[in-house]
Amino acid sequence: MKGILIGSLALLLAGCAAPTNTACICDVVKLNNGWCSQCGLGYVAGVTIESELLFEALDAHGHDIGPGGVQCSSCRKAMEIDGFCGRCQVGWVSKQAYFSTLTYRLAKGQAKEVSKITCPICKVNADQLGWCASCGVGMVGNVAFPTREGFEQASRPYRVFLAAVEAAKNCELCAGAMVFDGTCPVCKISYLDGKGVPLAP
Amino acid sequence: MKYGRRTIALGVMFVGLVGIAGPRAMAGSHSWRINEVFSNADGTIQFIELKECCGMNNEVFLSGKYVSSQATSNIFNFPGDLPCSNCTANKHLLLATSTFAALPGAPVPDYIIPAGFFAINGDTLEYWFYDTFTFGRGELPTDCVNSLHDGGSTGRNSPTNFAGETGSVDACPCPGDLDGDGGIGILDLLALLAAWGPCDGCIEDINGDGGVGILDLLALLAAWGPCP
Repeated sequence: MKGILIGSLALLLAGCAAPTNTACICDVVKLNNGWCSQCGLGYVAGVTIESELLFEALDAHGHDIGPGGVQCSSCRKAMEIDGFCGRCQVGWVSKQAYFSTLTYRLAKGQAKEVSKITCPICKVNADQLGWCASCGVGMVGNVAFPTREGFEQASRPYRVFLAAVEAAKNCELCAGAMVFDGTCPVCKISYLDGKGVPLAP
Repeated sequence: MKYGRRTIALGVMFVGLVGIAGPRAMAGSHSWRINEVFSNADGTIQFIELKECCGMNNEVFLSGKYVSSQATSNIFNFPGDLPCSNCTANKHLLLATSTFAALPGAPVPDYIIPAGFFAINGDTLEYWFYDTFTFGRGELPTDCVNSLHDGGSTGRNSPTNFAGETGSVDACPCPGDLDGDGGIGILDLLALLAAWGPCDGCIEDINGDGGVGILDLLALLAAWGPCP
């Protein structure tokens, strides 16, 4: 027990300064789209996110329904087929809600620990994006898809997401707007599929 | 080493799993959607109603989120999180002008927005990045009674606040001013005659008895002229 306390204390004191500890923590966090408070970094699909605002906006995990149930009929239909409700802009996977196209599509794949991937092509793909013909597996970040369709569907919002991660270095609100096809009220830019469009109407 | 490496490693893992890693519980605010929008002709009486869309019960983290208007560049920043937990599923939030709040039949707004917060001749309202509500010129009723709903339909306004209080307002200073031009005249008379017969919540039903008839005509004629 004391050993556990010492280990815990050592980690808390060291924070993420020690590279070995950082790697250890991040490996865990990367798998579950989590946030490392000590490092001040978040991960979605294994991609490092520096912007806390963007990370929280994505909220990349499934959300349970409250006791009142879902009133939207379109959502109820989508829940039955792991579909996406265009009206509410909510995707449903295993009766849990995902609030962006990206997180909904990623939820249909399976996060992998990259260090344990044996196929060299898949390993490279896990660094970014790619389909491995010999394995029949597509990697979107660290998320594996066994079908070409699932891979393609996740690829598009993932590319927008990568652009948003970069954009967040200059404007976090723009980054959030990119992912959700919204508008940055500061820069006065609306986004569609990650690209700026004229303000409407 | 007095304590084994394995035991210390367990401690490291414990902190990693419990204290640091993993998705945080905060950030619940995704599922509010702009559900109903209302304005009178000069924009002094307006409300924006948000509704929790999807049965999520912990969408309380509104701090840092906002509702904005593209046309006017107005932004309403939520002043903080909702003061409750497990309390949001299928609920409403009501943002309204203070003049709306003073009207008979108006539920108490949860938040006050300034007059003219959004443009009546076309605007795009947004709830943070999570929802967009766009309407074009002529799509938002300004007849003092009807509102624009999510999906583009119109109907008698039905603002609802977080506590669940609901109501309906008539934002015109004088009933019978059907075209909202500040007086009752021939155009209002023609509009009333055109709507003659049963109706459900139509503005020509001045006495609110579920139809347009002789009593409505008499009320309109009695108030003929400029509105007070």
